Formats: sequence, C-alpha cells, structure tokens
Amino acid sequence: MATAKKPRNQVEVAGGDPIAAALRQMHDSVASEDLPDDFLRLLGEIDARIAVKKAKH
Amino acid sequence: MAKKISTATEGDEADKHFRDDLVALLPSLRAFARGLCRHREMADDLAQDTMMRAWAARDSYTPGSNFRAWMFMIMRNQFYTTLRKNSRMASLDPEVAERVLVVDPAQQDGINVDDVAKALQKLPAEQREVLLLVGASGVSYEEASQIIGCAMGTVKSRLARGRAALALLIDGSPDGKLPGLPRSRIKSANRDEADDSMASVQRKASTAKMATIAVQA
Repeated sequence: MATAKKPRNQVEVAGGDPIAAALRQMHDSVASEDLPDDFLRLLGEIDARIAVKKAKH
Repeated sequence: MAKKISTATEGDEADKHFRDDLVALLPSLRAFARGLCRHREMADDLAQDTMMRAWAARDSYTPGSNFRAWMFMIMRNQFYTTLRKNSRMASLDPEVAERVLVVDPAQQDGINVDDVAKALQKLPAEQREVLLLVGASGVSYEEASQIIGCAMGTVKSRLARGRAALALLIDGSPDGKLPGLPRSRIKSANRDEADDSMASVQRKASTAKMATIAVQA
C-alpha cells in the first residue's frame, strides 16, 4: 500500500502552535549539529591560555 | 603571599567555570547566530567572534548573574556592528524577498520550517530578533529585555506583532489559520503587511545606514 510522502522539513503539529514549533525546530536543528573544527580550535586556544596562566602561578 | 596564591587559584577556577559555561552555551549561540545571519558561514563567524570577545571581557562578567543573557547581548551588539560594516549584507529587496517566500499550497496540515525561516527574514529586525530569542531560543521575556535593552512590555508587543506578521506571510492569517476571507482580500492583506514590514525595514536601513537582512545573491 502506498503511503503519502511527507514534505521535506515539515513540522507536524497536533493541536499546538505551528509557528512556535517551527521556530523551535529551527533552533534545535542547529543546536544539535556537531561543533565545527573552528570552534574546537578556539576552545583549544582558550584551554592553552588557561594552562599557561595556571603554570605561571 | 598565601592570599596572593589563593587569589590566583580562584582566578584559575573562575576561568575554568567561564570556559565550561561558554562551551555549554555554544549550541544555542550558533542557533541564534544562524537566525540572525541566515548564512551558515557568517553565522559561525559571528558565534566565534562572540566567543572570543566574551573571553576577552570575562572579567567584566559577574559570576552568578545571567550568563546566557550576557552572551546573547554581546552577540547581538556584535551582529549589528558587523552589519553596519559588512558589504556582504544587503538591504532587503522587496522583489527578491517576494521570490524567496514560496509556500507550497499542498501544505494544508503542517508548516514548513524553511518557509518560516524565509518569512522570518522579511520581518523588521526588531520583531525578528524577539522571535528568535523567545520563540526559538526559549529565553524569558525578562532575559530578552536585558539582551535587547528595552522594556519587557516592548518585548511582548514585538513578539505578538512579529508572530502575527509571520503567520500572515506564511498562510495569510494572523493566527496561523486561514480566515474565511475572499482569496483576493487575503492576498491584499498579505501584500499590505509585507509592504509595511519592508518599508519599516528600509527606513531603518536608510536611517542607520545599515542593512537589515542578508540576501543571498
């Protein structure tokens, strides 16, 4: 039996606010991404600065 | 001497806590930046810039106060500063904006996230940022008022107006459901609202000499 194809990126809302759900999904889809390497490199720089400061003490 | 060592250790601990809080907030920062910039690369540039500015200014942060509001405020300020300088941002072209908002008439029972994202870019910046903060990021009215630097009542009214404009742009009704209006009247209302939004956006862009919406060439 053929099933209806769900349109891509469509929010299903059961009695809720579809706009609120879509806004939340926009946020969650980015927030759930893995951190890109650039961010990890910057965090590494911060860690290095913390280590250097600690070593001075 | 002992006091000096103790202060230094406390400073190390404070840095470590600040770093950990920063890491925990990065997903939300990236999401807010994506909503503001729309372009992935520009959004990540903004988030990284915010990260490093916050780190450089960490001594001005009061531990125990609202870290998220503090970070979002830095990002928002940085966004508008960059917007004024960045030639890659263009002011809203109504014709381009009209073309990018494509609603599939077959979508009767749900709402497409891409359509909401596109419609969001047509709103005045002041409404868009409130929708992103309260609607998408889940910050409270109070936090949003701190981040934006306005009264809580202003946040609420911008949110209500933004939400109504968004619904109107997406499906022709302020409450997100098609009203029993003749189709021609819905189109007219839709167009008026869009025109009002765009006129407002263009006035702001002109006055502040800054763009309000990034439009991909």
